[in-house]
Amino acid sequence: MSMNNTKKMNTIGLVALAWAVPGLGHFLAGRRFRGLVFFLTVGFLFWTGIILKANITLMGTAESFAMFKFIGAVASGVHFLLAALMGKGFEDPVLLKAELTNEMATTFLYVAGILNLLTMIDIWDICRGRKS
Amino acid sequence: MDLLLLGLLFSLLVSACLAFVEKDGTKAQRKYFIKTFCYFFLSILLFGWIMAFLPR
Repeated sequence: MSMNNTKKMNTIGLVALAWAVPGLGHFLAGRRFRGLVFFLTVGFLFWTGIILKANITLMGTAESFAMFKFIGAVASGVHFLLAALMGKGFEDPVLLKAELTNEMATTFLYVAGILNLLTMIDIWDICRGRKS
Repeated sequence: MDLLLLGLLFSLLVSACLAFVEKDGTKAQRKYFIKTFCYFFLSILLFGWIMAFLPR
């Protein structure tokens, strides 16, 4: 495998790791403080959202922008998987939406996911040498 | 008070992440962090104050 291909594989691997565990890509690339901040922020936002009764929209449900909402939740990586395993956020959507804090909580959830997507783009740029 | 603390934490963490993602170099990152933190937190305070007038 040529040097260029190895570098490309490393980049894709780090981006995948950055999705799976927020901040891990940066941590492995030597940006430890940055990785820690990303890990804490995404975790804090996601779990605050879950505690405040956010509802996770699944793809294919009859809700507007269901696909984007699903991507926003899935982008949090391991946090989404843990929530899915525990069944948190997947309770009856009618009951969850009746909660006073539901809208704010769901916003927290999506901000966590979108922030993780931004960190994935950041690690891509770092690996490609466009950023320090 | 709890919601204010939550807003403060949200602003701090999200603006730190955005500064890291958007800017290169410590000085530029610090400037961007302060700016985005002020925007986030002042917006939260403003909208919280406005929403306090809404009927319950």
